[in-house]
Parts: sequence; structure tokens; C-alpha cells
Amino acid sequence: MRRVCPIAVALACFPLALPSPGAAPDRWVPARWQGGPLEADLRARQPSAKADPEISEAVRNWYELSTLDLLRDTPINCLLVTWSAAGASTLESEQQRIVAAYAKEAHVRGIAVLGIVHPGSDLVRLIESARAAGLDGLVLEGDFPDARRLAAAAPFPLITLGSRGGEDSPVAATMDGLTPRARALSEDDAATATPTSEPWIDSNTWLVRSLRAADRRPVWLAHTLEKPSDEDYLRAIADAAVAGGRWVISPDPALIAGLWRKRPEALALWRRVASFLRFFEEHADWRAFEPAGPLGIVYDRAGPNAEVSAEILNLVARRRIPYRVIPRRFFDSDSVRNLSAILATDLAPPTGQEREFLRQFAEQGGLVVAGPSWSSTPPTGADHVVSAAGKGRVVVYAGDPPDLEAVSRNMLSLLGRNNIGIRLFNAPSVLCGVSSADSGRQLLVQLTNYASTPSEALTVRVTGDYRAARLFAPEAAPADMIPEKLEGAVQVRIRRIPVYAALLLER
Amino acid sequence: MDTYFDRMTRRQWLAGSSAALGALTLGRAAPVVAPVSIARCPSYEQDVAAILAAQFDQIGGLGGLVRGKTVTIKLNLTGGGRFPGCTPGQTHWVHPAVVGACCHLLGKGGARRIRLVEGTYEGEPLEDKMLDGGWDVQAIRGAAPGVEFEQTNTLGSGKRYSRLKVPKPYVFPAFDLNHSYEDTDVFMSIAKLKQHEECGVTLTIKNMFGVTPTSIYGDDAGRDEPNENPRRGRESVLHYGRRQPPKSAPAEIDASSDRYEGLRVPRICVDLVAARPIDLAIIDGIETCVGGEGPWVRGSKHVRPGVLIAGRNPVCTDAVATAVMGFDPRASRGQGPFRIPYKSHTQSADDPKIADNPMLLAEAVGLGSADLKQIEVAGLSIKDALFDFEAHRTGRAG
Repeated sequence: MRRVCPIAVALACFPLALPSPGAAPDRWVPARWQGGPLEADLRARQPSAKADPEISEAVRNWYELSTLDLLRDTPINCLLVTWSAAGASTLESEQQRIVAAYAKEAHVRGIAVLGIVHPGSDLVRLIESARAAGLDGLVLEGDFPDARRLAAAAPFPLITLGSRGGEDSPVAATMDGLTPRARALSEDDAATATPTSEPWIDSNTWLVRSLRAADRRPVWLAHTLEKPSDEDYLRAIADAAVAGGRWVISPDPALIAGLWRKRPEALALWRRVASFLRFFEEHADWRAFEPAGPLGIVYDRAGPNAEVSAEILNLVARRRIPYRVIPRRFFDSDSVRNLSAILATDLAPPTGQEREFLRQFAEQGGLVVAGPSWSSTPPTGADHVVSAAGKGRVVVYAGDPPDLEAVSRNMLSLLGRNNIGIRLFNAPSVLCGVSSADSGRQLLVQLTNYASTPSEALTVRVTGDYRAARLFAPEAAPADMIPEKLEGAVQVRIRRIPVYAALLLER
Repeated sequence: MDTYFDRMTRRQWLAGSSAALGALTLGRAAPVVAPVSIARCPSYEQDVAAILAAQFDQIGGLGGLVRGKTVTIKLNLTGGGRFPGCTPGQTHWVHPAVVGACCHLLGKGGARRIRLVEGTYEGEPLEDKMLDGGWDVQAIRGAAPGVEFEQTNTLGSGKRYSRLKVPKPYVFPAFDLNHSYEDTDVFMSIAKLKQHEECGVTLTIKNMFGVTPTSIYGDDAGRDEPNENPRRGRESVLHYGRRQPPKSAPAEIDASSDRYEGLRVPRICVDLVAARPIDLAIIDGIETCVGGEGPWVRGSKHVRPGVLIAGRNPVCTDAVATAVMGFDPRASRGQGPFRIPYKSHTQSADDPKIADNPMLLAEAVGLGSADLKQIEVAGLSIKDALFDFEAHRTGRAG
């Protein structure tokens, strides 16, 4: 006889959820909106907490209804609020009473409210209390072993903030993000260490790209920013949006305090944040553009080197090589159409069918980059060997996993700088996202500047015969550009990119 | 007004240099002396062309030198990297405003063709390197009729390398160079006013180091023939002399001589000036860096000396520029700027590098005078133009 899961029984007793306000999860534009007495208490108990009465007061009173006015004229329509922290029951009850009232008013304004919960509490009880309070879902910040089983029966979405993006959530959400910015490499603040090196750029675009490729769920990056400048907020929005994701807006304590006290500089920053968010929502159609580029990277999230493999996506992006992520389970001859190279070090070892795809790809003129399991006699004495295969080449690396820095560096020379479809000039702090639509008739080049100063006088060169170009940027009117024609390519000179710009080229 | 130098061709110049050298050897004649102009130019937003035009007048005028001629300009676009918030042109490359102004004035002076030359690390076109520095290549191309670009680390548009002989060599008896260095009537070196980790100062003489094609003088040059796809620098062949150039090119005159780069690099630069004489030397000191030749030298930083220096003789021009930097242009090996105490990525703080003074080496073979007493300085005086590099490097300048 089949056993009946007691949790499922408990969940089956939940009445139907109240109709959610506003949009479905794929249209949610989220913000961390943590506050209330429970949040103030949590922050005060953190070992690194500094007693700042202004911030404490702002956090404690954050759920006064007036803070909802901050959302007017912004696209933010989903708030992640403090709902539970294990082991503080009296305070938690007070918190939930305040949040329930706040959520009610938020719903009137068409805003969804999700409760953030932490491990240590009974998830069934949390789901029940959140439903009763009219919340639209829960955000599980940490490890909840029951989450996967409960997700199917829960009356609303359970969004897991995990490194894999919570496979049963309606949203692929993760905390695994960095504050996107260029870092100086030396003590004396020189931006470079050698005559040819470039500043190190922390970006999360590759992470969004990998999560989006796995399935088509919306992607949220839910990390907070480290000592953010105004531009860091804007860059975090753009950095995620370039690959079609959303950074969960996370005001830092100083901004919370400034907004609470309606300080002009805080409100000015908030307006800029809203303007960036609005820009990407106005161009939501760009999310449907397909990644363009000569390279496909086969990515095996379940493989033995999953963490290491993810890094190659980061390093190749830093080389400004446009690529398409091919999840291993989708890897077939269709998935490599129009590519000129496949990076397949993650196939360790490749199955017979995968090996056959790769062999055919190389023989038809493609470049295959593989790990040592490709060959029965892996290279010795060199980190990689290049051999001819039909009309193409196969590169086999000796290391398992290979030296990823070397792989990404060599990839640029193997492909040839002029064969990757795009080149940026005078843009050491800029990374690009390249995607296309309408069978390649439209090419979108999104440019994010990771430096604290604007990128100026840069040139974008793309392969192909594009007749028109239009430059888009938040906080600026679109501008028509005249592409300069070169042999087999066009180039556009852009005067200045403070944080982000997008160039839409049309054939 | 045409001067003696206006009318000299390369062949005449070489002959003159050889004569001077011969005279020097015999202890009779003084080395070549030519006037040098210094001008105040606080920023690249100024009318750089007008300032340079006045300087050219002060050193004898351009017209007679360039009218109807092909002019080749060796730029100083060294390695990549940046100082935070700066373009390369503000710190370690010559600035496009100076190059554009020169092209404009050469065009105005009647130059038939103006060829901008420099090597690039990966063999990409020179225009791409300029774009990477934020240059408006279209604007440079439009600054005068007949502006061309050539990347000279390889054969480029030439069919063969040009062999240019060194009349009185220190290290190499001759060099195989890109054709541009021979196929020209007038040759200019435009350099940045800056120090150098191995050579003490980077001025118009040191700028010549980059005329050597890496296909022949690079670490990955072939053993027998040039490698037309070079990807490496000039460490093994030129800096340290660990190997000779390919057999197709002239080898060193004495492969057992001292291999220390502080002695080799200045000598090789002087050999290059002797092989390919410089007709016009310009130094961009509007903005630059102190403490080394680029951001990869630890402790180097961006400064604004606000000067332009121009002259007909590279030795005289570099001597004046060295004095403007607050150094003695006659300092000997290991003295003044030729003792490099600052810490870099290749040395320890306790082990200062020493270099030979390339101006004195050049003077000794008759290429020009490094004696300030002999050099007429027009425009701003050295005292008024003084920008103490050492004080700015150490922070003493405030």
C-alpha cells in the first residue's frame, strides 16, 4: 500500500491561495525590502553589527505604509520582506502582524509580497502562516531539506536562493553573485600589473547566462552589494539584465536610512535605480534575443567539475568572446548549428554519441576543444595539443580539469581575434553581451562598464553588413549612429558609457 | 627660412654624422648641435597645432624640410594597460592631439605623404592599436592629405626588409627593418617625456627601440628567417642578448659582450638612430607619468608637466628634455636618471638598476651634442619649464 506523506496531507488542508496581485513570477521585478522589528533584531545580533541608531530606526519602522510610496513610478512589483527567523517567536509574531498589514496595502497597489524565511523553522508552519497573512510566496534563504517536496503542493511559489537556482522554483534565484565592478590589482591602485593586462572584472552576467540556458525560467540574482556606490546599484541591474536576468534590488543600510528620512541624495539614487529598471522593462523584448557568437560551451551542471566548469563561462566572457551555453542534456547537432567552435572540456568523458557529434563538427571545419578523456593518449609535456581533424581541428588539454585561464586565453588565439564577430576598442573596463533576433537581421550589443569612471571614446566593431545602428542607454534618449563601413564589418564609435549602453544594429 | 638641416637628405645626414664621428675620433670637430624649442602647453585641449607651429618656426621651419616629401613618423605607443581614469595618451603613449597636430602642420607644409608607424603586439593594424587607445583614427587620417598607417613589427606592406647600416656600431652593424624606415625622405620620432625602467629616460632616442621588427628581433623570431606572425617582445634578442636574430639578419658584432640590458638597450637605441637618422624630434610632455615608462612599473603615476619640446637633432632634443625633467643630461652610468632605485616588477628595492646614458653614447659617435652649453634653447627656458620628475615620483613636489 502506498504511504501517504504527512506533509502533503498538511498542505492539502491549505485553503486555496488568495488571488495574487499584479504579474506572474516571470514578470516580477523584485526588491529586497527587509525591515520591521524582527529584521532590526537580526541585524543587531550580527557579530559585525555596528550600532547606528539612524539605521536601526529606519529598519525597525520600514513597514510603515509610507515606504510603499517609494515604489510609485518604479517597475518594482514584488517585495521580499522579512517573515521569519528561527527562534524568536514573540518578535516573529509581531513582525508577521505588521507585515500582513503591509502586504494588504501592497496588494492594493498591485505589488506582490514574498516572505523571506531562514532555516531552523518548520516550513509547513511558515507556509501556513504566510498564506494566512496573504503573502504571495516564500523565499527560502538557506537550506530547507523539505523544500523540493513541499514546492509542488504549496499554495504559492517557494523560491529557493541556492547556487543551482532552486530547480523546483518558478524562478531560478541565487545568492551567488558578486558586486559587479572592475578591481585594481596592485597596492598602489595601478589598474594593471603587466604591459598587456587589463583590470580584473567581477561580473555575474555569465551566471545569469548559465542559469537561463538550463531552462527558460526567470533568473534572479539575490546577492547584496559590498559597500556600494551609486553606480554599483545601476551596474548590478545592468549586469544581470544583459543576459536577461534581474538583480533583486537590495538597498544597503545607509540607503535604507536615507530613503526612510527622505534625504535628497538617497531619493535621487532611488530615482536612478528606477530609471534603470524601467529601461530594461521597456526593452523586455531583448530577453528573447538569442545569444550570438562563434563559440558554444557545453556545460554540465551535474558533472564532476561543476564548480570549475562554471568558471570557464566567466573567464571566456572576460575575454569578450561571445558564446552560447549549451547544457549537456541539450547537446546535439542542432544545438551547435552556426557555431565555429565548441568548448567541450565539461564532457568528461564524452558519451559515444557526444563524441560522434564533436567528431563530425570538427571534420566539417569546426574547432573542438576537449579535455584529456577525449583521447586515449592524453598530451604529455604540453598543456594542450592541436591536431587536424578533417577540415577542422581538435585541441586536447592535458589537465583534468584543465587550466581554465589558459583555456580561455588560448581560445582567443585559436579562434582569432578577428573571427569572433565583435571587437571592442579602448574599452578595458567594458564587457559585452551579444545577441540576435530576426534570423540575424538584428544584432544587439550590450555594453556594461565596470569601472568607477565612464568609459569614453570606445569603438565597437562587428562582423557583417549592418546599415543602421541605434544607441540606447538608461537616462538618455536613443541616438541614431552611422556605422563606418569596413571590409566585411562595420564599426561604431561611442563617445561615453557611464554604466551601460546598448547598440542595436540592423542589416 | 630654410636651414642647413632643411636641405639634408638621409644620405647627407649619414655622411655628416660619419664625418662628425671621424672628426671626433681625430679629436677635431664638435658634435652636431641644433636648436631646441620648449613651449608651455598646459593641456591637450589647447591649440596644440598653433603651439607646435610656433616651435617649428623657432627651430628653422618645416616647409623646406617636408614640401613634396614622404614623411614617416615613429610614434611612441608602448604597451597596454592604464593608469586609473587615464587614457594611454595621457600617460605613456604620445597623445593623439599631438600626432594630429603634427600631421596637420606637415600637410600644411606640403608633405606629399605622411606615414605613421609603430609596432603592434599581435600584428593587428596600427589603426586598431590607436582605436584601442581611444584615438579618433578618422580624425587623424583627415588631419592632412596622404596620411597612412603602417604596423612595422613585420614586413607590413613591403616586399622585403630594408637593411640599414650603422656607421659606427655599438652592438649591431646593421638592422633589417620594415621598408617604411627606408622609403621616406624625412623621419620623425615623436616620444613621450618619461622615465624608463631600463634606459633611464624614454625620449626620442629610446623611442627608436620599437622600430625593430619583432619578426626578426622578437623572442619568437625564426632561427633562419623572420617569423611573420610574431607574438612576443624583444627580451631575448635585444634586452638580454640570449640569442641572435635569424641568420637572414645581421648578427651582433660581438656576441660575447656584456649582456646586461642597462648597457645594451641604450647602445642598441643609439645604433638605431645612427642607422635611421631622425630629422625631427618631438616630445610630448603635456601629460605623462613619472617613475617608469608605463602603468606596469610599480610606483609610476600620472603627472602634468605641461610642456612640448621640439628639435631637429634627437640628441640635443633629448638632452634638453632630460634637463626639463630635472636630471643632468650628462650624467654618467648609474648616475641621475641612469640609476633606477624604484621598485619594479623585475627588481628588488635593494638592487638598483643602472643604465648607460644614451645621449652621451650618441654624442660619442657624432650623432649630436648632449651639452646644454652648446644647445640654443628657444621659447621657454629650461628653468621655467622645469618639472622635477624625481620630486613628483617621491611625492616631495607636493
